[in-house]
Amino acid sequence: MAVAHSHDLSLPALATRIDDPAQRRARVRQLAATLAPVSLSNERTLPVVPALAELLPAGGLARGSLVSVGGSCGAVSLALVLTVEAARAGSWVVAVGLDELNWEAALALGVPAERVVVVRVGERSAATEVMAAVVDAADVVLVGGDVVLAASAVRRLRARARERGSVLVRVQPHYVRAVGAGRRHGATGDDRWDGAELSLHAQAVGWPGLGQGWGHLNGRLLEVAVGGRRGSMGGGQGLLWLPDDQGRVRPPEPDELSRVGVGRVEAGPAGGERLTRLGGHRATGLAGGRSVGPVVPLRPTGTGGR
Amino acid sequence: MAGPIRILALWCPDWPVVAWGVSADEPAVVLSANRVVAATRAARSDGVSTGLRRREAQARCPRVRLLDRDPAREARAFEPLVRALDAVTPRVELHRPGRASFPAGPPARHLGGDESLAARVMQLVEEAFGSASGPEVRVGVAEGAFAARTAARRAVGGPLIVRPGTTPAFLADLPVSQLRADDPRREELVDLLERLGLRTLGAVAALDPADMAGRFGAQGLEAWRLTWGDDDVPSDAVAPPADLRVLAELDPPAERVDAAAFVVRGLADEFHGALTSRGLACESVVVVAETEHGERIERCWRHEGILSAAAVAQRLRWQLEGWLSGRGAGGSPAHRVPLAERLQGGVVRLELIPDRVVGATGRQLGFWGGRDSAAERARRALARVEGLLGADAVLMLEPAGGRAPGEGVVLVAYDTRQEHPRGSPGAQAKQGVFPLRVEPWPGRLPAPAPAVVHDPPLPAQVLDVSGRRVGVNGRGEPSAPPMAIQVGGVRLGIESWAGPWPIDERWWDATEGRRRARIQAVTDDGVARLYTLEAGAWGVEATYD
Repeated sequence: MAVAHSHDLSLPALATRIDDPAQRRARVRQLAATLAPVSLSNERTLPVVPALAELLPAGGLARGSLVSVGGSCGAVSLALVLTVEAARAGSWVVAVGLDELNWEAALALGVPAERVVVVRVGERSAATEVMAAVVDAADVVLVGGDVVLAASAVRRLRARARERGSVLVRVQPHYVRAVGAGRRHGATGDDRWDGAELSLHAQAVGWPGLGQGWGHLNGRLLEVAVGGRRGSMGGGQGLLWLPDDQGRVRPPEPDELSRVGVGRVEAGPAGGERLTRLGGHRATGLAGGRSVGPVVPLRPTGTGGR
Repeated sequence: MAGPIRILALWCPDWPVVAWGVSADEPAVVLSANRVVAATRAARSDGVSTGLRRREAQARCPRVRLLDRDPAREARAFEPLVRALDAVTPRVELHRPGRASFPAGPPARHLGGDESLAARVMQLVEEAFGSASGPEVRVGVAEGAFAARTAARRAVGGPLIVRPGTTPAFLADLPVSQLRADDPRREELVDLLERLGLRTLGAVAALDPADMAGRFGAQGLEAWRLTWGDDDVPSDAVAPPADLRVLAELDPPAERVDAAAFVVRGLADEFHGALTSRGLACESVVVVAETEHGERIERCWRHEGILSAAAVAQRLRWQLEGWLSGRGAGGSPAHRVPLAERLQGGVVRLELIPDRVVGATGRQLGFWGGRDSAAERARRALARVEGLLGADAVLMLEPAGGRAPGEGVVLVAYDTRQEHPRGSPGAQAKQGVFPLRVEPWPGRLPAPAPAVVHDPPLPAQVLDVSGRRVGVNGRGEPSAPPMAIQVGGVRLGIESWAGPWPIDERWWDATEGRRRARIQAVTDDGVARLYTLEAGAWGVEATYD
């Protein structure tokens, strides 16, 4: 990408003196960017959509890192939306072992179709070699739950990703287990993928549009918690429309929360904001009521979300 | 310098559909990546043409039979014909199933002229297919392979023979779109030429080649050369060194194509590696097989351009399909292959010999790794994945139409997308994003789309307040409001829901018609899902994960 700027450096621009120091500095930065042949992989990040950039400590996906995306609901969409900006900027996205994924949803979230390659590993056992090749191919690799690797293979894979500067996104969807084996929140234990530099935990907290026998879903409000070895420095947590009723990905406005029956934002104890969950229509009294605390911190105080 | 040699080209129009054994009077199309690639005469008379989307084809010809592209079947069905040609020449070159050519000179001299040769070829073809009413085969003879192929395409109702020395004149009056018909990769070039007002091959031929090279690069220069009928042997073709052949012993002997599939890929990679290490690239390759009974057969495949490792592997697979046909798991071949036409016993040895080799120009990667290098690196690494898992496991997205969740995108094999870039010259790719909702499907679910689709649906029960299964009557009304979901021993309470939305698809079709009803519900685990009732059974169709 540095090379792409080279034609901007027309000679007259260099020949004329630039007196404004800000302009001069900008010029020097531009030149430095043009001339720098390499940069260390951990200094580079892949872009993400602005709404997510606010939440991530690096403001993007650090190249060479492992990102784990899990949660009770919304993890798959969250993982997809992580890839959108990088793919638009020209990175290839390869998805391995996500056979049930509905790519229509990916396109609707803005993932460009011509930058996505889907690899089906199925029952075949060449997962280790396939993953090694795929890390060479793509800047972003989505790794689904169907990919079973030995712990040593995961270590080698991560080393390779660091060297290559690709981002491994481990998607730990909850959907099958939640339905099939009755396992609940976050119980997607595959500890071989532990120690991710960044871990995102998604939980759907609002489904606007759906009534009691009427309406239809028109959006999804996610609560995204950011953790992991690097994420813990930021420790961010926030709400995100993924998508809103216009198909956009953005943080919600405070007044929208009460409207969709999710909760309301109040001033927290130390100047931060807190989201108070409302009981809403969740009072039907059937089995399996969710034990969600009534008050969840929305934006942490102190360290700051970003 | 000797002029271009005379070539006899043989072309079976719409081979992909012919290979299915469909009669020309039955409307049928073969689809690849949701586009028509071949159609029968009956379908064409209803206005179906190549390149149409499935939906358009169905609109123009509602009774049309839809068939999937099956390269293995095409190769199997074409093999008897190629074997028949062995009677006149030892040098048949295959381009792809349905297209072959060979130098016409020696056999024509033997048989007493091009007309006799063409007549003999037609006769052999008839015998190979067992009757005069077999598939249509067109034969053309001209100087240079491009001119011969062009002649064959126009040879309706009998062989078309271009007199010696008149090939440029023959080509001059033809529209420039012939260049595209010969190789779809020239689409963009042809489009530009037409817009520049160069509508015939003659107009292109009249240009200064330096101008063509200057404006269109190597591709333009090649096109210019073709318009003069001068294409066959590139001037820089060299005799391949003998040690570039690669071979593999199969133990146990491969009786079926899938048994040899693993070797095929490795062999093709080895072949390609040996060439590239010497800075060479291959335009045509001879595939040799030996059976356990000592039988040895060989076949020459050529490609318009340079054969990549994947293309070599593909041709090797096609050839094995042809030789081992009738035993593969691919079902019954369209045309019954007589026993004598098949290989006896398993294949014990496979060999690849480079036939025509040119210096590899290769592609220079960006200096510090630009965007091109990313695409190139991706292409190489994905070719490796294809080698490990097979070409059907590496897929790309193709927006399509459909009502059910997940039908809006079809996955097409990555290597076919590489070979046949999409429709109009890169126009959609240039836009960056494929238009997703160009054709709205009435009755499809409103956005957002569920991110996970379960196929088949996970069995579930939707229960009412008294624990009975919720039914949906003919008016689309539920028997009672759904209150809970029972899935795999877990009972989830419904917090909010909408529906049921009845879907009655293809009701005019007894076998493909489906009646379903869907409800959308958020359960108390905080997850929204889509539940479907079909034939009295509920299932989880999709999850809004």
